[in-house]
Amino acid sequence: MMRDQWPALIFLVPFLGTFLLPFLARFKWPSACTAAAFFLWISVLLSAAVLGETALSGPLSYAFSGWPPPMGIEWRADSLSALMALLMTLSAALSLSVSGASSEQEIGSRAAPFFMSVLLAVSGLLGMVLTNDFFNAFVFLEISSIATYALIASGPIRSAPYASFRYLLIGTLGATLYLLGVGYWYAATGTLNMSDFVTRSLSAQDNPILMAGFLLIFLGLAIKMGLTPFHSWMPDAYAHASRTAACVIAPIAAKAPIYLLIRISFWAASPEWLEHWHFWNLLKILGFLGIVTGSLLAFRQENFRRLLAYSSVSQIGLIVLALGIHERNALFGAILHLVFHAFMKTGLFLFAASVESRFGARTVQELSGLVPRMRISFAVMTTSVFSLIGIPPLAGFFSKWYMLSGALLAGDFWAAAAVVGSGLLSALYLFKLLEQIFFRKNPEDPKTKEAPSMLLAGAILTAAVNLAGGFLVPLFHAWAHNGFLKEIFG
Amino acid sequence: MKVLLFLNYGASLFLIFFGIFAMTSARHLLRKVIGMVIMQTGVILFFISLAFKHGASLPVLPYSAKTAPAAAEAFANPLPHALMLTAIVVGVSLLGAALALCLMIYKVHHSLEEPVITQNLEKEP
Repeated sequence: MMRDQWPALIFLVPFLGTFLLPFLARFKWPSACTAAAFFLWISVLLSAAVLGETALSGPLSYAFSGWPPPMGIEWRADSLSALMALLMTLSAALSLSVSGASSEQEIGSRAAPFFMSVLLAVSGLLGMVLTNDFFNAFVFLEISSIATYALIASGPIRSAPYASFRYLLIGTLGATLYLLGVGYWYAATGTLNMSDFVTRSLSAQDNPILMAGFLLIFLGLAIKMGLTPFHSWMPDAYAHASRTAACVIAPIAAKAPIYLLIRISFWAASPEWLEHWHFWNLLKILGFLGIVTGSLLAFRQENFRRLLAYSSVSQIGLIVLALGIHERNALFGAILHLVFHAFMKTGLFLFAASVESRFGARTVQELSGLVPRMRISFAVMTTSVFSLIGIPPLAGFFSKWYMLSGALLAGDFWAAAAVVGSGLLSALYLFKLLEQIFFRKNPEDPKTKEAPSMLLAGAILTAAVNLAGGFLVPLFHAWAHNGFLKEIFG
Repeated sequence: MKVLLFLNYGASLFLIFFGIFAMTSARHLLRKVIGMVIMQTGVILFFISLAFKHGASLPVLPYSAKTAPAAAEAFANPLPHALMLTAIVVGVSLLGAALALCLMIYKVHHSLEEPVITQNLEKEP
């Protein structure tokens, strides 16, 4: 039956596309960028089909080479992983489809290897999301990481390779710690399958090896997702990457490790056991630190993309804090924020790409002179920024609302204060940004020179998602209520 | 024999920490890369030590015993070896990526010493 193979096909289309791309690149048409976007859009359709299928008739499971699950490698698409697969493919496909012309100007003759790396990075992320096997997840973590290192190194030759090298060192440390933790878990339970691990670990709950393994895995994932105090690689990587690469990887690369953390801490490990070791409190503290550090450092940034990266650090802190509350609504809010934040950041990085390709503007100072020339782009950018702050009709408000209600329902007033505080802190640095951009005298003669039309269209689409997202939340909540929330909280 | 096994785990821990130490403290980028490889080797040694069983044989069924039921206790665990084969491949490609980046850095900065590179980067282009 074809249905069972869909989860694997979501991954296989961009993965095989990676190796078809150099042959396609020999022809004038389609360009490497168009071809890569084409493969990703097929993947988007497949993910949407899988998402619909999981909503109608439960999780899909695919056993590679026909080896039945606990022994062989199993891929599993349930409501959450199908949603994440759709998010990854959609966000990457959107950025690739609109950045064709701008990337040609920037990347030129290196197009084929560049877009191969893009496809490889996205298929690695898809593998991490869809697999139900700890070791398999490590392999895909490294596949996506290696492709990401290449993408970051594709920026300006003076600074990008060094930024990429530093990310490589710290990223390898994270992946190796994750692998060591998986080794501990394998030693304690004898299984690598996540579902099988749940049943086997129940009988060995007070085994300290399990906790040591869990801590190593958590540490590895925290490094890969850029959680404070391990965030230092992120601003350099996103500020020095080529602008096309930043549009593709910045919104989704950190999301896959967060997904793995959710999968491991909510499904694989038992909640009582984590409660006993104060893991949820640890998440709350690290999340809070992330919010504060990210916001304060974002406040001081001059470089626009670096500011966006620090803002990501603080939003990741917020998501981790919401996970630490360990409550139904808070988890839903975290997932919602994961989705909407990807679209906000796609819009903002597309905006950064368009001002860089038109005017070479990289700093906030340079942006302020451009307002009369690119009115539409700046209006769209402001929509995304307002959503990031969490101003009511926009999507960002609803995710923070659910986190807040979760914290209050759990009776955790410190966490509630931290969620509100994160909104205030992001308002602080983002309003400073808007003030610097809009409330400055512009000496130049205003001659309209809008952003490249495709980039503008992409930014408008993401802004539309942010506008419409809020109205879809009830539907989304009903779906999550019958899907992953029911699985975890009953 | 037990002592020898502990020696394995101790050695793997030593390699991991030594690798991390080299990665963080070395100033030369190639030394950092070497530290990274040592750290990965430590993890590989850890997994391989997991597979060891006292008195067990190779996990290969003799041809004559085609139909005989295999007692799992009599064989070493082959799975960690298979996993580490994959991890070695991952490590090799990481090493390749790291060396390629070092090459790119050296072409621009004519040095692989970290202080020199950061000093170069701080200067305005």
